[in-house]
Amino acid sequence: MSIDDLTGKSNSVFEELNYDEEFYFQWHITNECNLRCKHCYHESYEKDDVNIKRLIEIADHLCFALNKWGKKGSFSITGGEPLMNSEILFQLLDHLETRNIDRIDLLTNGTLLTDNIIHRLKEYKKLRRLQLSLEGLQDTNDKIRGINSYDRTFDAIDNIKRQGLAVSIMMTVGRHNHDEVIPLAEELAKHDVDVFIIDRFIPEGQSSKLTSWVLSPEEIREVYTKAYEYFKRTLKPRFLLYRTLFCLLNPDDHHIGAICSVGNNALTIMPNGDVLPCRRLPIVLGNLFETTLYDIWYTSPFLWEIRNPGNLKGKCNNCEYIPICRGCRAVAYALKGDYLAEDPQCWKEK
Amino acid sequence: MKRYVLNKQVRLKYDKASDKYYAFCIDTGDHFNLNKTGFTILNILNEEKSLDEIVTLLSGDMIVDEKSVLSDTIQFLELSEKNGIIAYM
Repeated sequence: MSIDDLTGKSNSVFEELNYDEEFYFQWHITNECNLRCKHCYHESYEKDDVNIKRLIEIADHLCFALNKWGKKGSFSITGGEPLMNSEILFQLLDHLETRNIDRIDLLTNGTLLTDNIIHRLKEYKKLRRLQLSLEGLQDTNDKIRGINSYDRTFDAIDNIKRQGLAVSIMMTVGRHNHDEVIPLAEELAKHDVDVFIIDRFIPEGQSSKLTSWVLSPEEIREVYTKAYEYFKRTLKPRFLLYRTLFCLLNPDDHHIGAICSVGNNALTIMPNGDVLPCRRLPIVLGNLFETTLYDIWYTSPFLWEIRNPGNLKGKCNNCEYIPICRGCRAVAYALKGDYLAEDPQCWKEK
Repeated sequence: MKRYVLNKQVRLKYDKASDKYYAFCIDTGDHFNLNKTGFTILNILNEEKSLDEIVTLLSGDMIVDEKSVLSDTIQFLELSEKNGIIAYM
C-alpha cells in the first residue's frame, strides 16, 4: 500500500484539464433589461432582488476559489443590463478592484452609458474593455435590438473610444444576418473598435422558436472562413476567433479555435446564485447560496460526464480535434436535446 | 469508542474515465489524489469500522502480512487526519 499520492501534488484530472491558466466567470448580476432583443437567450427579465451584500458574497466566493486553484480570474459582468442599477454595479467594481482578479469585461447594451458613467468606469484598472452588441448593419440590427439601436450603439462606441477605453462588439450570427459579418466589421473599423466577436445563434430563452435562424454546417463554414480571412488581412478590428469549430480552418494556427470551456475553465453565475456550465447551456449545477463552488465543481455529475471526451457522441467522439475543440455543447443541447451529441453545425466529414 | 470518521465536508470520487481516485473538501477546496487502497480505506470509514476491522478487510485483498497493513493504514489515517479528510472522534 502506498500513501505517496495523498499530497494533492500529483497530476489529477484537474491538472490535466488545466488548458488555460485563466478561469472565466460570466456573471449575470441582474435579469432586468431595458431592451427586448429578439435573439436573446434570457427566459425572463423580471426585477430581481439585486443587493450589494449578496453580490459581494458571491464575489468573495469566486475569488477564494481562484486563489485556491492558482488561476487568473477573468470576469465578464453582465445582465440583463448591468447598468440598470449603476450604483450597485460601481460598488461591486470597487470591491472587485481590490481582489485577486486579473481582468473584468463589462457586457452592456450601451444604452445607459452616459459620459459620466464611462468616465467613472475608466478609473478601474482591472476593467479591460466594454463589450456592446450589434447584429449586423442598421436595418438588420434594429429589427432585432430595437429602433435606433444601431445609431445609439455607435454613439456609445464613439464615447467610449473618446474617453480612452477599449471596446469590443459581439455579433450573434444566424441565417438572418450572416451576410453582414464582414460589412459590419468594416463599419467597426471606421469607429476604431478594438475587438469583434462572433458567436453562433442558439435558439433558447426568448428566441427558442427562431429555429430557422440556425445556420447549416456549410453556412457556418462560409462565415468562419470569411472571418478568418479578414483576421489574416487586418486587425482593425481584431476578430476574436477563440471558438469551437474554428480549428477546422487551420489546426496549426493558435490564434483561432478553442476547446469548449464547459467543465474545464469556466462557469456562469446567475443573479440568484445559480451556477450554470455556460450561459447558453441552461442546466443548473447548484446555487452559491446553498452550497459551495467547490462542491459544484468537484462533485457535479454533469461536469464529470462532460469532462470525459469519451462520452461525446457522433463525429465528436474520437475526433482528432478533441484536444482543441469538442464542439459546442450548448448548440448540441439546444438543437438535439443532448449536450453530449455531436456539434450539429460541424462541417467536418466523419 | 473513538474512531476515525470521514469529515462531513469531504466527498470521495472515483473517476472511471481516468481511473483516478479523489477526496474533495467542499468547504476549503482542497482536493487530494488517492490510490485505490486509500480510497477503499476512506470508504470503509463511512461504514463505521474499527481499525482492526479495516485491517482485516484490507489484508484479505493483499499479499502482505497484517502487521504491514496495520502500520501503513495507521500512517495513512494519520496523514488523512492531518489534511482534514478525516477526524478522530
